[in-house]
Amino acid sequence: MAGQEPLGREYLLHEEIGRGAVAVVRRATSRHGGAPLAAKLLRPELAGDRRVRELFLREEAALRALGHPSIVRLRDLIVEGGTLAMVMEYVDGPNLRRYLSLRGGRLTPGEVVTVAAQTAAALAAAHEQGVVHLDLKPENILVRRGSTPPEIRITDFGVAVLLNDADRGAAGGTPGYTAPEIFQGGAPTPAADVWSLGVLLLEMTTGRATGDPSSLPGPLGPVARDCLAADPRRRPPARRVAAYLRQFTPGGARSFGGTGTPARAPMSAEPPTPVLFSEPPAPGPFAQPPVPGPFAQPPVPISEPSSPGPFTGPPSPGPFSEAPARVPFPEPPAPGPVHGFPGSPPIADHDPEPTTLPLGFPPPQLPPPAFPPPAPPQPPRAAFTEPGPQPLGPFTDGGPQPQRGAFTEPGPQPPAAFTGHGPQPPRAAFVTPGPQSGPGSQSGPGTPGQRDTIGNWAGRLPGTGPYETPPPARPREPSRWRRGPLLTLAAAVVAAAVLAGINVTANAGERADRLVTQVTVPPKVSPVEAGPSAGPAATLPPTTEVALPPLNTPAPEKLRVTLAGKVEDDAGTLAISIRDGVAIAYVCDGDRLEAWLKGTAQNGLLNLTGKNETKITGLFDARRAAGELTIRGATHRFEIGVVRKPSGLYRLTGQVRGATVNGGWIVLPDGTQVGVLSRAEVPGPAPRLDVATRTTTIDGETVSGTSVDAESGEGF
Amino acid sequence: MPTATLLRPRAWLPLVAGVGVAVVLGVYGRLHEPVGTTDVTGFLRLQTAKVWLATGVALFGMIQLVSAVALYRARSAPGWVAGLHRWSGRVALLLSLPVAVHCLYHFGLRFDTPRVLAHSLFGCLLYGAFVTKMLLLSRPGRGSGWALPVAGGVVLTAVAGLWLTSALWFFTTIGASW
Repeated sequence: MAGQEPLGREYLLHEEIGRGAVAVVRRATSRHGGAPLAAKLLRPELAGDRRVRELFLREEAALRALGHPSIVRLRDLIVEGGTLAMVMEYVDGPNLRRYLSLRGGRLTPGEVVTVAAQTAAALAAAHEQGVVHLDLKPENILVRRGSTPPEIRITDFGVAVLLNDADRGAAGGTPGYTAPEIFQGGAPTPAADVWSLGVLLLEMTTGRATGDPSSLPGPLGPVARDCLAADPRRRPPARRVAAYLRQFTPGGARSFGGTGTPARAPMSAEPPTPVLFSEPPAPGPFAQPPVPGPFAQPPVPISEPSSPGPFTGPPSPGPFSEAPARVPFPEPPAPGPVHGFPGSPPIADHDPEPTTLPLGFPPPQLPPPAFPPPAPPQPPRAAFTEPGPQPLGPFTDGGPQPQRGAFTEPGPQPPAAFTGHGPQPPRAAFVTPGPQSGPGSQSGPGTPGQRDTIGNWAGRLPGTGPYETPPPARPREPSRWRRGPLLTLAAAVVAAAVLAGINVTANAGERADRLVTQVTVPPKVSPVEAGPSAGPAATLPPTTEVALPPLNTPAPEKLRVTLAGKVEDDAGTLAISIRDGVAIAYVCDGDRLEAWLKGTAQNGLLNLTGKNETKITGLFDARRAAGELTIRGATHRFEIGVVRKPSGLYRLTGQVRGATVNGGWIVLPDGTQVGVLSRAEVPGPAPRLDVATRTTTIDGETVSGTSVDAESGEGF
Repeated sequence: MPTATLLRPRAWLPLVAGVGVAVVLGVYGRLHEPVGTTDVTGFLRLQTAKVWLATGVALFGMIQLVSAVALYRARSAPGWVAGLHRWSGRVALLLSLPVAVHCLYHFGLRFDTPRVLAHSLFGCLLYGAFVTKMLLLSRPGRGSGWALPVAGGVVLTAVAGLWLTSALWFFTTIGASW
């Protein structure tokens, strides 16, 4: 249906433009306009899988970060209900599978190099980011419409590996293109993509995804062979393949001379020699396998510049007689990027490993292919084809080949990597250079019996050191830690350290000032002993359930103050007396409600508790206190100020006619008194207290009380 | 068959680091002798400033929540949302540090009351979760799956808990100004 269905809040879905095993691709547009887009909607059974969704979400940043001219950019990931859609750049053009079929099944070597160089550069960029494709095949390579030479965009980066990770097995690779170690349970490494690239090289050149890679013409043979090494550790990294191939792209350091017809080596006066796919001629004097074609490496011993090339047979074109060993240790490639195609990132700029051919040897020469030339480019039809399931067994040929050229296999030689383990099967003949004369170079690339690889040749360049077999393949290259959050953490640590320093400094001054205490000095009032009940019984009853001071007891604070005032909600009247970090409080309503509390007043914090879960928490300073009082399960806010004698807190304990009486009074600055007197544990309104004499009359008897005096410590 | 992902570095490092930071803060808060003060008035003014700073942190925390939801829910969130998320977080962190340093240095980790205990624990949790979140963000690998939202949720929970047990308590029991 070509209707406009919404996708997320920003996109509209249009007609279907492709369909595959794991997804349906529809054209999409943004509600805000802009370039056309393609939305790949995972099939419901995949999109509904929580693991798949989580994996895609987790890796979204990596996929988005893949910015390369030859990679279809993921613009957005929509997870909505049961929908999982990847919104990406729309590429107007066919995929490479269709492009090949339009071209009769294969491309010219120049085009192959162009496409392969772009592919390798894109892979290199992705591998740099720690992303592997794992399902590189013609269906996942889009050729931009009308581009000459063909410009490609690789799509579906990460999709296969994600689905594979979810154990879906839906797109864990395509037989024929995916490296054998993947099918054997190996870890998906960048080397797996390099294998796929080798298969692509083979297929684009010969029309078949199988065959002898060494038999490919020109520079394609050795690189395809290296890419298709059975041991993933022997495969060159994509960046090196890219740098190598880029030399032969139009505009590269070495060129085929165009993409239409293969160029002849400029220095060769001899007619081009056809590629020999049959058994090569007799081995040369170095007992090396014969030269498969003009791409064979210069065989002249480097130590003998004047020595002519030992190969004069038909396979050797002109280059072998031209300055082969003029530069014993030739100059490295010219500095600066060599852009083989528009938009190609200068990956080789950072590649200290030189490639095979910029060794000062004559440029290679492409022979005319032994198979019919490909069909001329045709205007491709736009297509965004979803990779479909390959109707192949895992170790069978590459499926329906559009056309098979006049290419003849030298023999039944299955792709080596399909053998998985074991030594590399013998490859087609390929001549390595002569023995190296430099010290310690017994096993140089020219050593008899050693395969020539890009890596081997790279090892001969000055300053680069020998090519070392990469360490055992690891599942993925760890990328670097992102600096932003780490910098934020570091800045936080620095800021905290500075603030701690400020606090310590300020506290040092505080300790020095601690000798100066802030003391309130209430007028001294001498208790007046009156009444027979006064005496030893007037000692304070113990305040039970006293809160222990916190374990972290700070230095005593020299603040002595009494505060009193009303509690909100008419919950009573409160007085708090603070002396050197110890606080005693009394709350009463003047009728039946009363409670004594004791606790701490430190660091500006009040913390007192009393019977029946009565509690005071709050703040205080030398002028006032505020906080909340919890009594009888209800919490009330209070804010009280400093009071001075005779206002303050008083209490009484004694015997009146045989009954124990306990009383408490709060005297406010306006002279009002609030108190509760308990007789035999029965609370009731307290009689008026004479604050001057601290006496009161109970049942005709005069009883004296005491003050809770923060200054003198009385009552504490 | 081994599972395959693009990148899956070890996940325990951020968690261990965060737990370590939280524990270290708590242990320091218990071992360190809180510093008293005699300038109670100045001290309380400082406390007032702290609760306002904490309120600012909570507000930026709300911005964090909204922007994070926008980033996770609406995949097509405009680019500035991510910047807003980052910078609101940085500002919140900056505002929180004076409060945290002062609390830790002057009060330490205490459990006088449930509120104080909760406040102390939330403080340790906040910075532990923050360290975990930063390391999750910075570790090699793309995306962090559920771990990052969880870490962010813990950070926000800690901020909310800290605000409720300090600023809200202060405003409702002490008043907005002292």
